Amino acid sequence: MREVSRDALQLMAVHKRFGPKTVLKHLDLRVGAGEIVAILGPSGGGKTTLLRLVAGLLLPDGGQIIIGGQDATRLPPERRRLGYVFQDYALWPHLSARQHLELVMQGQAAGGAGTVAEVNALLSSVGLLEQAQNRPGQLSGGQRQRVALARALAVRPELVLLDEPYSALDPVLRETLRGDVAALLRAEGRAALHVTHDPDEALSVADRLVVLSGGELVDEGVPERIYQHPRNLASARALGRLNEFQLTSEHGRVSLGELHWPSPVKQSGLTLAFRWEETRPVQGEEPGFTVRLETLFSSRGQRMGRYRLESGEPLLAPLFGALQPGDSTKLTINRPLLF
Amino acid sequence: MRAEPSSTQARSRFPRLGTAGAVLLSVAALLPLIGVLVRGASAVVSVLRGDLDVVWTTLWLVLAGTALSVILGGGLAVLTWLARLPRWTDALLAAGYLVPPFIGAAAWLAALGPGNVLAGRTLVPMYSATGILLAWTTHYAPLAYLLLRATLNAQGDQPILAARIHGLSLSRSLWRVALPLAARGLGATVTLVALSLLGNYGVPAVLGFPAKIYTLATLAYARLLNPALSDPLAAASGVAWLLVLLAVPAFFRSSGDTGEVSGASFPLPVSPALSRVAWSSVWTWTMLAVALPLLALLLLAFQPPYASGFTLANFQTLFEVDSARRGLINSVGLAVGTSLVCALLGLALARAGQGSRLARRAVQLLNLPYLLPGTLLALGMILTLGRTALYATPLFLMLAYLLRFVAPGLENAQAALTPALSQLEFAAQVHGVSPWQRLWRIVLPLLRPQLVASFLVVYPLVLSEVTLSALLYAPGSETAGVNVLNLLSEGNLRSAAAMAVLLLVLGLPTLLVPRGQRA
Repeated sequence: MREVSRDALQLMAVHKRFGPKTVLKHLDLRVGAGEIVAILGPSGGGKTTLLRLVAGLLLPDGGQIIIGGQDATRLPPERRRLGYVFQDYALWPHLSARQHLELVMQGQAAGGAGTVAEVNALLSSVGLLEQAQNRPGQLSGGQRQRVALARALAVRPELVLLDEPYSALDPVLRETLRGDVAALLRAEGRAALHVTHDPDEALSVADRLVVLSGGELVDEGVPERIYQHPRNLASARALGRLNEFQLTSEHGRVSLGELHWPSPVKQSGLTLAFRWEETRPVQGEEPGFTVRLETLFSSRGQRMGRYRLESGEPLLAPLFGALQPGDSTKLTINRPLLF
Repeated sequence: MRAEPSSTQARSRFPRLGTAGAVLLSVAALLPLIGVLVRGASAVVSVLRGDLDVVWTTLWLVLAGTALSVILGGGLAVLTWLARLPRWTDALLAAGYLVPPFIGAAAWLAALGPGNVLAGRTLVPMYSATGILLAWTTHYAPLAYLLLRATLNAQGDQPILAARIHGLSLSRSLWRVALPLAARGLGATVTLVALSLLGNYGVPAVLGFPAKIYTLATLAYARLLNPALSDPLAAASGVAWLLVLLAVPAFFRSSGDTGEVSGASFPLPVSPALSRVAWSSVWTWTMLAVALPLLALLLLAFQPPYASGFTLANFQTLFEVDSARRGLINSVGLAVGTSLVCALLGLALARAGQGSRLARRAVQLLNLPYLLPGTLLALGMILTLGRTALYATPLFLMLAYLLRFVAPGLENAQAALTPALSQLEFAAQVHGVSPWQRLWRIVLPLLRPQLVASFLVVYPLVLSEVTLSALLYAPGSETAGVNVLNLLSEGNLRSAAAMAVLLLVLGLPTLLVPRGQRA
């Protein structure tokens, strides 16, 4: 195997087709040592294919996959030194938590069988020392998830792959665990590639976000930058619900009510996008656009309204003041995104 | 919370009738078995003293046959599962199981035995333990394959995939993860194959009798027909006792529950080398274990005596013999009738089992005549109904078949009675549809595919049945299977081959059974 780089993972022009459909288009991606990278994107964007290619469950049609500095493009899965936390855990029902770790530690050619102390340390780090003899059927959902993580770490992996690992858990446990897992990965110094379609999860655990859409990397960077200044509409959409309006260009600008933005000369129109929390009522003579409140609802303790513009298009925003359904008000946008 | 309609609610008017029917039928099935055990109890010791060699022969033949069948069938199952061969290869590998064992034995005689169609001289001493093991293995390895493949398929890809990703080699993943997870299915396979071999009469009758190699199944037959014995029925029942004793351990095997396994997954890439090995194994098995003997049987059936070439004379001769014609008509009639009744009765019993615990227990007992060697039921039928007008009539045979083969029909119906069906029936009930209308308009139309499948599962079993038939038939109620055995024992290999070919052709409807429902 050829020594190429010390990043945990490096994809170079990786290309994959299924029949006539191209699912990954010459993708370049790197995950640094100890870095947690979250992959976000719409269904069919190539996230799962990417994970399977890295795991060795699929072979690329082109490009190179480097894991821990070694060319792993054609390596079988067991020789890639990966940990994998499956969506539904994929625990072995006939083995106890301890046996899970012992089995994969025995499988490591370099490290040899894990000692009792090593296994205990790992079980302890995921808080399962007391349940070490329990089989998956005797563990709760959260405990199973922890066994899956401990098994992934037991490999002493170059990279841990997490495939929507919290989707089977209830929301409260999900929030608790994702913080714990990220902390443990950082404490162990393990790099991770975390596939999810939950923006909150991606934003809370990742050092860096990668947005895939249509098989292409459409944006990457630190979570805050992508959230606040996405490079394109696909990237903005990947991080949560947007209000979106197609605006037609007139005299070199696009408008929403009294709000105007310059438009490139060659473009006939632009998409204006903004998140619901970026709206606010206008103050004084400030320009804005008029909306009429249609219905009220609550989301995570926040009173929200479904509004409609004068042009008839719907808009989601917080409920301002004592507005009642049928009332009109004028709003403005803190941070408009124009694509 | 949404209220789940229970099956009990849907059938509240008929639980007593259903329970009474189930209890009555299980008593009818158990009485003959108990009768044999009572009658044979005094003869067990003398059988043990006089025929201990047969007990040992049976034991080692069954153990060797089981080991060979499970190793070969299981090996093919693991190989084709790992290599992800297409599902149609199941049909190639399972084909041997569709050929009744005694016809398989006749086919091997035609291929390798004395005067075979391939070389003209004996290639393998077929009238021997080797011959019996060869015929058993080629019939029961496909059964082991089907059962183990189903177990592996149910396990899904994830366990082995998780093992491979976490650094375990293919062999270690197989040994430490996939096979322990399949332990329960493996145990069930070993049990089922061993019980089938223990109760098999056809193969040792065709290949063992001429060499005076007896198993307990054929010894019971020999004892029953031995005019020198003062009480042949007691002597045969004594042998049946030993059959039960050997079968009992199989019923006490540990279930080895391994818990729930997730099936949702995606497959590992298959190495070209593994794929090549799997494909060659499938084709080697198909050619050697299925095509070779069947081709030999066909050639023999169409070969003129003492000459080469092609003739229909063997079939013509067959149809000129009254007993042969009668045998075919009886076999087809009994197969159609029994299969129809088993399908409907299975459904009625399964519904009764859903409505009452007593009925459920009674219905479970109906598996015994199917799992225990058929010799036991046959002797029990003679003991309980041997002095009635029913004895030695085709109806007598049909009753025996019914008791033996109601279990597969029942199993099919139990699988079909899902909570979803109960819910649909409950929807009709709450909307005021009468019980008969519910049965006629809702249940039967929805279960039509399963009823057809039950029919097609039982049909070939009855069509080629020989264990019960050999002991229960009388002049006038011959069956085609018994005719094949008689023709073989007379040395009339060509006519036997012709009759066997006809039986195979008549058994073709079983190929229409939906995948996974074949018993």
